[in-house]
Amino acid sequence: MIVVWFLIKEGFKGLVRSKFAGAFTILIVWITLTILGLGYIIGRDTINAVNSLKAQFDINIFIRESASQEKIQDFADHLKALEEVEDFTFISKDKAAQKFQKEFGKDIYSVLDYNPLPPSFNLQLKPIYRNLASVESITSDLSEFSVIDEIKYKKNFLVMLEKYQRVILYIITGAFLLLCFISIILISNTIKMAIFSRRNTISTLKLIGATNNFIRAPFIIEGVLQGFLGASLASGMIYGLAYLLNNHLQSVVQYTVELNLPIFAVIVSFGSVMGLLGSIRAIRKFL
Amino acid sequence: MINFQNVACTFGSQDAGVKNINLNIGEDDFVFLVGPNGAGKSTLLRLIYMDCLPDDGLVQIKNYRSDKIREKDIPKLRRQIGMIFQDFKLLDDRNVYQNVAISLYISHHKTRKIKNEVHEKLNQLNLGHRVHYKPDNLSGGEKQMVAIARALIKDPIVILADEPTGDLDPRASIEVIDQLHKINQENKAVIVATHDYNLVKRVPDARIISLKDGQITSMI
Repeated sequence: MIVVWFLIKEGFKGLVRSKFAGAFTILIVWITLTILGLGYIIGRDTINAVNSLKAQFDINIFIRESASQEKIQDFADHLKALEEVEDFTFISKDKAAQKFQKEFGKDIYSVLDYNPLPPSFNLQLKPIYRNLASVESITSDLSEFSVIDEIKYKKNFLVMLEKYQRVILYIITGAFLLLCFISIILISNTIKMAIFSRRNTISTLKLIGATNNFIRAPFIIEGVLQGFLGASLASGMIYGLAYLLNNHLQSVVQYTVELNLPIFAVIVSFGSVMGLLGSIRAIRKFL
Repeated sequence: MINFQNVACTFGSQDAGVKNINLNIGEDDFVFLVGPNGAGKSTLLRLIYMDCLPDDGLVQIKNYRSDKIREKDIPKLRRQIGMIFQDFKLLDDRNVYQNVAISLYISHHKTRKIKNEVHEKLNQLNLGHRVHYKPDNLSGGEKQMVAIARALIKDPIVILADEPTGDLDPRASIEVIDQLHKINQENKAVIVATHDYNLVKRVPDARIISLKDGQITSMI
Protein backbone atom coordinates (compact mmCIF):
# COMPACT_ATOMS: atom_id res chain seq x y z
CA MET A 1 0.00 0.00 0.00
CA ILE A 2 2.90 2.32 0.89
CA VAL A 3 4.47 1.58 -2.49
CA VAL A 4 1.19 2.26 -4.31
CA TRP A 5 0.86 5.62 -2.55
CA PHE A 6 4.52 6.37 -3.28
CA LEU A 7 4.03 5.58 -6.97
CA ILE A 8 0.91 7.78 -7.19
CA LYS A 9 2.84 10.63 -5.57
CA GLU A 10 5.73 9.98 -7.97
CA GLY A 11 3.27 10.25 -10.88
CA PHE A 12 2.13 13.69 -9.69
CA LYS A 13 5.71 14.79 -8.96
CA GLY A 14 6.68 13.57 -12.42
CA LEU A 15 4.44 16.29 -13.87
CA VAL A 16 6.67 18.89 -12.24
CA ARG A 17 9.91 17.01 -12.93
CA SER A 18 9.16 16.60 -16.62
CA LYS A 19 9.24 20.41 -16.94
CA PHE A 20 9.22 21.50 -20.60
CA ALA A 21 8.64 18.04 -22.04
CA GLY A 22 5.57 17.61 -19.82
CA ALA A 23 4.34 21.13 -20.49
CA PHE A 24 4.77 20.52 -24.23
CA THR A 25 2.71 17.32 -23.98
CA ILE A 26 -0.08 19.21 -22.21
CA LEU A 27 0.08 21.93 -24.87
CA ILE A 28 -0.17 19.40 -27.71
CA VAL A 29 -3.12 17.63 -26.03
CA TRP A 30 -4.74 21.01 -25.46
CA ILE A 31 -4.37 22.15 -29.08
CA THR A 32 -5.31 18.86 -30.74
CA LEU A 33 -8.33 18.27 -28.51
CA THR A 34 -9.51 21.86 -28.99
CA ILE A 35 -9.39 21.35 -32.76
CA LEU A 36 -11.00 17.92 -32.42
CA GLY A 37 -13.73 19.25 -30.12
CA LEU A 38 -14.49 22.20 -32.39
CA GLY A 39 -14.45 19.85 -35.39
CA TYR A 40 -16.97 17.62 -33.67
CA ILE A 41 -19.25 20.54 -32.76
CA ILE A 42 -19.14 22.03 -36.26
CA GLY A 43 -19.77 18.57 -37.78
CA ARG A 44 -22.63 17.86 -35.37
CA ASP A 45 -24.29 21.23 -36.03
CA THR A 46 -23.91 20.87 -39.80
CA ILE A 47 -25.61 17.47 -39.70
CA ASN A 48 -28.30 18.89 -37.39
CA ALA A 49 -28.85 21.78 -39.82
CA VAL A 50 -29.33 19.34 -42.70
CA ASN A 51 -31.71 17.26 -40.58
CA SER A 52 -33.73 20.30 -39.58
CA LEU A 53 -34.03 21.21 -43.26
CA LYS A 54 -35.27 17.69 -43.91
CA ALA A 55 -37.76 18.05 -41.07
CA GLN A 56 -39.45 20.79 -43.11
CA PHE A 57 -40.13 18.27 -45.85
CA ASP A 58 -43.82 17.45 -46.25
CA ILE A 59 -46.17 15.85 -48.76
CA ASN A 60 -49.36 17.50 -49.87
CA ILE A 61 -52.12 15.12 -50.94
CA PHE A 62 -54.93 16.85 -52.77
CA ILE A 63 -58.35 15.25 -52.58
CA ARG A 64 -60.90 15.21 -55.38
CA GLU A 65 -63.68 17.74 -54.80
CA SER A 66 -66.19 15.01 -55.50
CA ALA A 67 -64.85 12.72 -52.75
CA SER A 68 -67.39 11.89 -50.03
CA GLN A 69 -66.69 12.58 -46.35
CA GLU A 70 -66.82 8.86 -45.73
CA LYS A 71 -64.13 8.14 -48.32
CA ILE A 72 -61.97 10.97 -46.96
CA GLN A 73 -62.32 9.54 -43.46
CA ASP A 74 -61.37 6.07 -44.73
CA PHE A 75 -58.27 7.58 -46.32
CA ALA A 76 -57.41 9.43 -43.08
CA ASP A 77 -57.73 6.14 -41.18
CA HIS A 78 -55.38 4.55 -43.70
CA LEU A 79 -52.82 7.31 -43.18
CA LYS A 80 -53.07 6.90 -39.42
CA ALA A 81 -52.23 3.22 -39.75
CA LEU A 82 -49.16 3.77 -41.90
CA GLU A 83 -45.83 3.00 -40.24
CA GLU A 84 -43.98 5.71 -42.19
CA VAL A 85 -46.30 8.55 -41.17
CA GLU A 86 -45.29 10.71 -38.24
CA ASP A 87 -48.19 13.17 -38.41
CA PHE A 88 -50.77 14.53 -40.80
CA THR A 89 -53.38 17.27 -40.89
CA PHE A 90 -56.51 17.57 -42.97
CA ILE A 91 -56.98 20.92 -44.68
CA SER A 92 -60.58 21.44 -45.75
CA LYS A 93 -61.55 23.84 -48.56
CA ASP A 94 -62.37 26.54 -45.98
CA LYS A 95 -59.08 26.06 -44.17
CA ALA A 96 -57.27 26.22 -47.50
CA ALA A 97 -58.97 29.53 -48.21
CA GLN A 98 -57.89 30.86 -44.81
CA LYS A 99 -54.35 29.71 -45.51
CA PHE A 100 -54.41 31.45 -48.86
CA GLN A 101 -55.47 34.69 -47.20
CA LYS A 102 -52.76 34.32 -44.59
CA GLU A 103 -50.05 33.66 -47.14
CA PHE A 104 -51.10 36.05 -49.92
CA GLY A 105 -53.08 38.65 -47.95
CA LYS A 106 -56.10 38.35 -50.23
CA ASP A 107 -59.48 36.69 -49.87
CA ILE A 108 -59.82 33.97 -52.54
CA TYR A 109 -63.50 34.86 -53.03
CA SER A 110 -62.68 38.46 -53.87
CA VAL A 111 -60.16 37.28 -56.45
CA LEU A 112 -62.13 34.51 -58.20
CA ASP A 113 -65.67 34.65 -56.80
CA TYR A 114 -65.37 31.00 -55.88
CA ASN A 115 -62.93 28.75 -53.96
CA PRO A 116 -60.93 26.54 -56.35
CA LEU A 117 -58.69 25.25 -53.59
CA PRO A 118 -59.22 21.52 -53.06
CA PRO A 119 -59.24 19.83 -49.67
CA SER A 120 -55.93 18.21 -48.86
CA PHE A 121 -53.84 16.30 -46.39
CA ASN A 122 -50.47 17.61 -45.24
CA LEU A 123 -48.24 14.68 -44.37
CA GLN A 124 -45.03 14.53 -42.35
CA LEU A 125 -42.96 11.37 -42.48
CA LYS A 126 -40.83 9.91 -39.74
CA PRO A 127 -37.15 11.03 -40.07
CA ILE A 128 -35.89 7.69 -41.40
CA TYR A 129 -38.45 7.78 -44.22
CA ARG A 130 -37.55 11.33 -45.34
CA ASN A 131 -35.63 10.05 -48.35
CA LEU A 132 -36.46 9.85 -52.01
CA ALA A 133 -36.86 6.07 -52.21
CA SER A 134 -39.31 5.92 -49.30
CA VAL A 135 -41.24 8.98 -50.44
CA GLU A 136 -41.66 7.60 -53.97
CA SER A 137 -42.81 4.25 -52.64
CA ILE A 138 -45.33 5.83 -50.24
CA THR A 139 -46.73 8.27 -52.79
CA SER A 140 -47.04 5.50 -55.35
CA ASP A 141 -49.10 3.41 -52.91
CA LEU A 142 -51.26 6.36 -51.90
CA SER A 143 -52.01 7.38 -55.47
CA GLU A 144 -53.99 4.15 -55.83
CA PHE A 145 -56.75 5.64 -53.69
CA SER A 146 -59.63 6.96 -55.75
CA VAL A 147 -60.12 10.00 -53.50
CA ILE A 148 -56.75 11.37 -54.48
CA ASP A 149 -56.48 13.94 -57.16
CA GLU A 150 -52.79 14.80 -56.94
CA ILE A 151 -49.78 14.29 -54.70
CA LYS A 152 -47.15 17.01 -54.51
CA TYR A 153 -43.82 17.23 -52.74
CA LYS A 154 -40.51 19.04 -53.31
CA LYS A 155 -38.68 16.30 -55.13
CA ASN A 156 -35.74 18.48 -56.16
CA PHE A 157 -35.35 19.75 -52.61
CA LEU A 158 -35.18 16.15 -51.36
CA VAL A 159 -32.75 15.08 -54.09
CA MET A 160 -30.47 18.05 -53.39
CA LEU A 161 -30.56 17.51 -49.62
CA GLU A 162 -29.78 13.83 -49.98
CA LYS A 163 -26.88 14.57 -52.27
CA TYR A 164 -25.37 17.24 -50.01
CA GLN A 165 -26.12 15.32 -46.86
CA ARG A 166 -24.07 12.39 -48.15
CA VAL A 167 -21.17 14.64 -49.20
CA ILE A 168 -21.24 16.55 -45.90
CA LEU A 169 -21.39 13.33 -43.91
CA TYR A 170 -18.42 11.88 -45.80
CA ILE A 171 -16.38 15.07 -45.41
CA ILE A 172 -17.20 15.45 -41.71
CA THR A 173 -16.61 11.79 -40.90
CA GLY A 174 -13.36 11.76 -42.89
CA ALA A 175 -12.09 15.00 -41.34
CA PHE A 176 -13.05 13.82 -37.84
CA LEU A 177 -11.34 10.45 -38.25
CA LEU A 178 -8.27 12.16 -39.71
CA LEU A 179 -8.19 14.58 -36.76
CA CYS A 180 -8.59 11.66 -34.34
CA PHE A 181 -5.73 9.81 -36.02
CA ILE A 182 -3.48 12.88 -36.03
CA SER A 183 -4.32 13.56 -32.37
CA ILE A 184 -3.51 9.98 -31.36
CA ILE A 185 -0.17 9.99 -33.20
CA LEU A 186 0.78 13.48 -32.06
CA ILE A 187 -0.11 12.92 -28.40
CA SER A 188 1.47 9.49 -28.33
CA ASN A 189 4.72 10.72 -29.92
CA THR A 190 4.91 13.75 -27.65
CA ILE A 191 4.58 11.51 -24.59
CA LYS A 192 7.22 9.23 -26.09
CA MET A 193 9.57 12.18 -26.49
CA ALA A 194 8.90 13.26 -22.90
CA ILE A 195 9.69 9.76 -21.64
CA PHE A 196 12.72 9.51 -23.93
CA SER A 197 14.16 12.57 -22.22
CA ARG A 198 14.09 10.59 -18.96
CA ARG A 199 15.47 7.32 -20.29
CA ASN A 200 18.46 7.63 -17.95
CA THR A 201 16.14 7.67 -14.96
CA ILE A 202 14.50 4.51 -16.25
CA SER A 203 17.81 2.69 -16.78
CA THR A 204 19.08 3.75 -13.33
CA LEU A 205 15.89 2.51 -11.67
CA LYS A 206 16.31 -0.82 -13.44
CA LEU A 207 19.90 -1.07 -12.24
CA ILE A 208 18.96 -0.52 -8.61
CA GLY A 209 16.35 -3.27 -8.72
CA ALA A 210 13.07 -1.63 -9.67
CA THR A 211 10.56 -3.91 -11.33
CA ASN A 212 9.03 -2.87 -14.63
CA ASN A 213 5.72 -2.14 -12.90
CA PHE A 214 7.44 0.09 -10.35
CA ILE A 215 9.03 2.08 -13.19
CA ARG A 216 5.94 2.05 -15.38
CA ALA A 217 3.29 3.17 -12.87
CA PRO A 218 4.44 6.78 -12.26
CA PHE A 219 4.92 7.36 -15.98
CA ILE A 220 1.42 6.09 -16.70
CA ILE A 221 -0.09 8.23 -13.94
CA GLU A 222 1.87 11.19 -15.28
CA GLY A 223 0.65 10.48 -18.84
CA VAL A 224 -2.97 10.30 -17.68
CA LEU A 225 -2.57 13.56 -15.75
CA GLN A 226 -1.02 15.27 -18.76
CA GLY A 227 -3.88 14.03 -20.96
CA PHE A 228 -6.44 15.08 -18.35
CA LEU A 229 -4.94 18.56 -17.93
CA GLY A 230 -4.58 19.11 -21.68
CA ALA A 231 -8.15 17.95 -22.27
CA SER A 232 -9.46 20.13 -19.42
CA LEU A 233 -7.75 23.14 -20.95
CA ALA A 234 -9.24 22.19 -24.35
CA SER A 235 -12.71 21.95 -22.74
CA GLY A 236 -12.21 25.34 -21.12
CA MET A 237 -11.12 26.82 -24.42
CA ILE A 238 -14.08 25.36 -26.32
CA TYR A 239 -16.44 26.65 -23.63
CA GLY A 240 -14.78 30.08 -23.79
CA LEU A 241 -15.04 30.26 -27.58
CA ALA A 242 -18.68 29.12 -27.50
CA TYR A 243 -19.45 31.69 -24.79
CA LEU A 244 -17.80 34.42 -26.86
CA LEU A 245 -19.74 33.39 -29.97
CA ASN A 246 -23.09 33.04 -28.20
CA ASN A 247 -22.85 36.24 -26.17
CA HIS A 248 -20.70 38.73 -28.01
CA LEU A 249 -20.50 37.79 -31.68
CA GLN A 250 -24.14 37.14 -32.52
CA SER A 251 -24.25 40.33 -34.58
CA VAL A 252 -21.40 39.01 -36.74
CA VAL A 253 -22.10 35.26 -36.85
CA GLN A 254 -25.68 34.14 -36.50
CA TYR A 255 -24.87 30.75 -35.10
CA THR A 256 -25.45 29.56 -31.58
CA VAL A 257 -23.30 26.76 -30.27
CA GLU A 258 -25.05 24.34 -27.97
CA LEU A 259 -22.76 22.83 -25.38
CA ASN A 260 -23.57 20.15 -22.89
CA LEU A 261 -21.76 18.21 -20.22
CA PRO A 262 -21.32 14.97 -22.24
CA ILE A 263 -19.15 16.83 -24.80
CA PHE A 264 -16.73 17.94 -22.09
CA ALA A 265 -16.87 14.53 -20.41
CA VAL A 266 -15.95 12.88 -23.73
CA ILE A 267 -13.10 15.35 -24.38
CA VAL A 268 -11.63 14.91 -20.88
CA SER A 269 -12.03 11.12 -21.04
CA PHE A 270 -10.48 11.04 -24.52
CA GLY A 271 -7.51 13.12 -23.35
CA SER A 272 -6.99 10.93 -20.27
CA VAL A 273 -7.24 7.72 -22.30
CA MET A 274 -4.80 9.15 -24.85
CA GLY A 275 -2.39 9.94 -22.02
CA LEU A 276 -2.82 6.43 -20.66
CA LEU A 277 -2.32 4.64 -24.00
CA GLY A 278 0.47 7.01 -25.10
CA SER A 279 2.47 6.47 -21.94
CA ILE A 280 1.95 2.69 -21.97
CA ARG A 281 3.13 2.59 -25.59
CA ALA A 282 6.09 4.89 -24.93
CA ILE A 283 7.35 3.31 -21.72
CA ARG A 284 7.30 -0.14 -23.30
CA LYS A 285 10.18 0.92 -25.55
CA PHE A 286 12.41 1.64 -22.60
CA LEU A 287 11.72 -1.37 -20.39
CA MET B 1 28.98 -16.39 -2.48
CA ILE B 2 29.76 -15.33 -6.08
CA ASN B 3 30.94 -18.07 -8.33
CA PHE B 4 32.03 -18.04 -11.99
CA GLN B 5 32.47 -21.42 -13.72
CA ASN B 6 34.06 -21.40 -17.19
CA VAL B 7 32.19 -18.23 -18.07
CA ALA B 8 32.31 -16.73 -21.53
CA CYS B 9 30.34 -13.70 -22.59
CA THR B 10 30.94 -11.85 -25.83
CA PHE B 11 29.19 -8.99 -27.58
CA GLY B 12 30.58 -9.46 -31.06
CA SER B 13 34.10 -8.81 -32.26
CA GLN B 14 34.15 -5.06 -31.54
CA ASP B 15 33.10 -5.08 -27.90
CA ALA B 16 34.86 -6.24 -24.81
CA GLY B 17 33.80 -9.55 -23.41
CA VAL B 18 35.18 -12.25 -21.15
CA LYS B 19 36.14 -15.88 -21.68
CA ASN B 20 37.14 -18.83 -19.59
CA ILE B 21 36.50 -17.09 -16.28
CA ASN B 22 36.70 -19.19 -13.13
CA LEU B 23 36.34 -17.21 -9.98
CA ASN B 24 35.10 -17.42 -6.41
CA ILE B 25 34.36 -14.37 -4.30
CA GLY B 26 33.61 -14.76 -0.59
CA GLU B 27 31.22 -12.84 1.63
CA ASP B 28 33.87 -10.55 3.11
CA ASP B 29 36.28 -10.25 0.19
CA PHE B 30 37.58 -6.95 -1.14
CA VAL B 31 38.40 -7.57 -4.78
CA PHE B 32 40.05 -5.24 -7.24
CA LEU B 33 39.49 -6.03 -10.91
CA VAL B 34 42.34 -4.34 -12.71
CA GLY B 35 43.31 -4.08 -16.31
CA PRO B 36 43.32 -1.71 -19.26
CA ASN B 37 40.20 -0.46 -21.01
CA GLY B 38 38.44 -3.31 -22.81
CA ALA B 39 39.95 -5.97 -20.54
CA GLY B 40 36.50 -7.19 -19.48
CA LYS B 41 36.23 -5.65 -15.98
CA SER B 42 32.84 -4.06 -16.56
CA THR B 43 31.55 -7.19 -18.29
CA LEU B 44 32.44 -9.22 -15.22
CA LEU B 45 30.44 -6.82 -13.06
CA ARG B 46 27.52 -6.84 -15.50
CA LEU B 47 27.51 -10.62 -15.31
CA ILE B 48 27.14 -10.37 -11.53
CA TYR B 49 24.11 -8.05 -11.67
CA MET B 50 22.89 -10.03 -14.67
CA ASP B 51 22.76 -7.12 -17.07
CA CYS B 52 24.09 -9.72 -19.48
CA LEU B 53 24.02 -13.48 -19.25
CA PRO B 54 26.94 -15.77 -20.15
CA ASP B 55 27.10 -17.45 -23.54
CA ASP B 56 28.87 -20.34 -21.85
CA GLY B 57 29.43 -21.43 -18.27
CA LEU B 58 27.61 -20.44 -15.12
CA VAL B 59 27.47 -17.39 -12.87
CA GLN B 60 25.99 -17.98 -9.44
CA ILE B 61 25.26 -15.30 -6.86
CA LYS B 62 23.92 -16.93 -3.70
CA ASN B 63 20.88 -18.87 -4.98
CA TYR B 64 20.60 -17.03 -8.25
CA ARG B 65 21.98 -19.02 -11.19
CA SER B 66 22.50 -17.45 -14.59
CA ASP B 67 21.21 -20.58 -16.34
CA LYS B 68 17.94 -20.65 -14.43
CA ILE B 69 17.15 -17.07 -13.56
CA ARG B 70 13.83 -15.72 -14.83
CA GLU B 71 13.54 -12.13 -16.03
CA LYS B 72 11.24 -11.23 -13.14
CA ASP B 73 13.87 -12.43 -10.63
CA ILE B 74 16.59 -10.08 -11.88
CA PRO B 75 15.19 -7.03 -9.99
CA LYS B 76 15.13 -9.19 -6.82
CA LEU B 77 18.80 -10.02 -7.33
CA ARG B 78 19.69 -6.39 -7.98
CA ARG B 79 17.99 -5.33 -4.75
CA GLN B 80 20.65 -7.40 -2.97
CA ILE B 81 23.52 -5.79 -4.86
CA GLY B 82 24.78 -2.26 -4.26
CA MET B 83 26.04 -0.64 -7.43
CA ILE B 84 28.33 2.33 -7.89
CA PHE B 85 29.25 3.73 -11.28
CA GLN B 86 31.83 6.12 -12.68
CA ASP B 87 29.07 8.51 -13.85
CA PHE B 88 27.25 8.11 -10.49
CA LYS B 89 23.89 7.38 -12.15
CA LEU B 90 22.02 9.60 -9.73
CA LEU B 91 18.54 10.82 -10.57
CA ASP B 92 19.18 14.45 -11.49
CA ASP B 93 15.62 15.59 -10.87
CA ARG B 94 15.61 14.35 -7.25
CA ASN B 95 17.46 15.56 -4.20
CA VAL B 96 20.02 13.58 -2.18
CA TYR B 97 17.42 12.20 0.23
CA GLN B 98 15.14 11.03 -2.61
CA ASN B 99 18.05 9.46 -4.49
CA VAL B 100 18.92 7.31 -1.51
CA ALA B 101 15.34 6.63 -0.36
CA ILE B 102 14.28 5.29 -3.77
CA SER B 103 16.28 2.11 -3.10
CA LEU B 104 14.15 1.38 -0.05
CA TYR B 105 10.87 2.27 -1.73
CA ILE B 106 11.79 -0.24 -4.42
CA SER B 107 12.23 -2.84 -1.68
CA HIS B 108 8.80 -1.92 -0.21
CA HIS B 109 10.01 -0.52 3.12
CA LYS B 110 7.79 1.62 5.33
CA THR B 111 8.05 5.39 5.02
CA ARG B 112 9.02 6.03 8.66
CA LYS B 113 11.74 3.40 8.49
CA ILE B 114 12.96 4.86 5.20
CA LYS B 115 13.21 8.37 6.70
CA ASN B 116 15.16 7.22 9.72
CA GLU B 117 17.52 4.97 7.81
CA VAL B 118 18.25 7.44 5.02
CA HIS B 119 19.05 10.27 7.43
CA GLU B 120 21.22 7.95 9.51
CA LYS B 121 23.15 6.74 6.46
CA LEU B 122 23.63 10.25 5.06
CA ASN B 123 24.94 11.44 8.42
CA GLN B 124 27.33 8.49 8.55
CA LEU B 125 28.74 9.51 5.18
CA ASN B 126 28.91 13.21 6.17
CA LEU B 127 26.12 14.15 3.77
CA GLY B 128 23.62 15.24 6.43
CA HIS B 129 23.94 18.87 5.36
CA ARG B 130 23.30 18.02 1.71
CA VAL B 131 19.94 16.24 2.14
CA HIS B 132 17.95 18.69 0.04
CA TYR B 133 20.62 19.29 -2.59
CA LYS B 134 20.14 18.16 -6.17
CA PRO B 135 23.07 16.21 -7.72
CA ASP B 136 23.95 19.18 -9.93
CA ASN B 137 24.82 21.16 -6.81
CA LEU B 138 27.21 18.54 -5.40
CA SER B 139 30.91 17.98 -6.01
CA GLY B 140 32.01 14.78 -7.77
CA GLY B 141 33.13 13.24 -4.48
CA GLU B 142 29.80 14.08 -2.84
CA LYS B 143 27.90 12.57 -5.75
CA GLN B 144 29.83 9.34 -5.40
CA MET B 145 29.18 9.33 -1.64
CA VAL B 146 25.44 9.66 -2.39
CA ALA B 147 25.77 6.70 -4.77
CA ILE B 148 27.53 4.75 -2.00
CA ALA B 149 24.72 5.69 0.43
CA ARG B 150 22.15 4.50 -2.11
CA ALA B 151 24.03 1.23 -2.53
CA LEU B 152 24.51 0.68 1.20
CA ILE B 153 21.05 1.63 2.39
CA LYS B 154 19.54 -1.64 1.16
CA ASP B 155 22.06 -3.71 3.11
CA PRO B 156 23.36 -5.54 0.04
CA ILE B 157 25.32 -8.78 0.01
CA VAL B 158 27.95 -7.21 -2.23
CA ILE B 159 28.95 -3.75 -3.44
CA LEU B 160 29.98 -3.51 -7.10
CA ALA B 161 31.89 -0.41 -8.09
CA ASP B 162 32.67 0.16 -11.75
CA GLU B 163 35.51 2.73 -12.03
CA PRO B 164 34.08 4.61 -9.02
CA THR B 165 36.92 7.12 -9.01
CA GLY B 166 37.13 7.65 -12.76
CA ASP B 167 35.57 11.12 -12.63
CA LEU B 168 37.03 12.20 -9.28
CA ASP B 169 40.07 14.18 -8.23
CA PRO B 170 42.79 12.27 -6.30
CA ARG B 171 41.57 13.40 -2.86
CA ALA B 172 37.98 12.40 -3.52
CA SER B 173 39.18 9.13 -5.06
CA ILE B 174 41.01 8.23 -1.87
CA GLU B 175 37.94 9.12 0.22
CA VAL B 176 35.77 6.84 -1.91
CA ILE B 177 38.21 3.91 -1.77
CA ASP B 178 38.66 4.36 1.99
CA GLN B 179 34.90 4.37 2.42
CA LEU B 180 34.58 1.16 0.39
CA HIS B 181 37.35 -0.38 2.50
CA LYS B 182 35.45 0.59 5.65
CA ILE B 183 32.33 -1.05 4.27
CA ASN B 184 34.33 -4.20 3.59
CA GLN B 185 35.65 -4.23 7.13
CA GLU B 186 32.04 -4.53 8.26
CA ASN B 187 32.03 -7.95 6.54
CA LYS B 188 30.52 -6.97 3.24
CA ALA B 189 31.98 -8.07 -0.07
CA VAL B 190 33.22 -5.25 -2.29
CA ILE B 191 34.30 -5.60 -5.91
CA VAL B 192 35.96 -2.60 -7.52
CA ALA B 193 36.83 -2.39 -11.20
CA THR B 194 39.59 0.13 -11.81
CA HIS B 195 42.59 0.84 -13.98
CA ASP B 196 44.14 3.10 -11.33
CA TYR B 197 46.82 0.92 -9.71
CA ASN B 198 47.60 3.60 -7.11
CA LEU B 199 44.22 3.07 -5.51
CA VAL B 200 44.82 -0.65 -5.17
CA LYS B 201 47.61 0.07 -2.71
CA ARG B 202 45.13 1.78 -0.35
CA VAL B 203 43.62 -1.61 0.50
CA PRO B 204 46.52 -3.88 1.43
CA ASP B 205 44.40 -6.93 2.21
CA ALA B 206 42.46 -6.81 -1.08
CA ARG B 207 42.50 -9.56 -3.67
CA ILE B 208 43.71 -8.31 -7.02
CA ILE B 209 42.45 -9.93 -10.18
CA SER B 210 44.14 -8.79 -13.37
CA LEU B 211 42.32 -9.07 -16.66
CA LYS B 212 43.50 -8.71 -20.22
CA ASP B 213 41.55 -9.33 -23.41
CA GLY B 214 38.69 -10.79 -21.39
CA GLN B 215 40.77 -13.33 -19.54
CA ILE B 216 42.13 -13.49 -16.03
CA THR B 217 45.90 -13.13 -16.22
CA SER B 218 46.67 -13.19 -12.52
CA MET B 219 44.98 -13.51 -9.14
CA ILE B 220 46.65 -12.31 -5.97
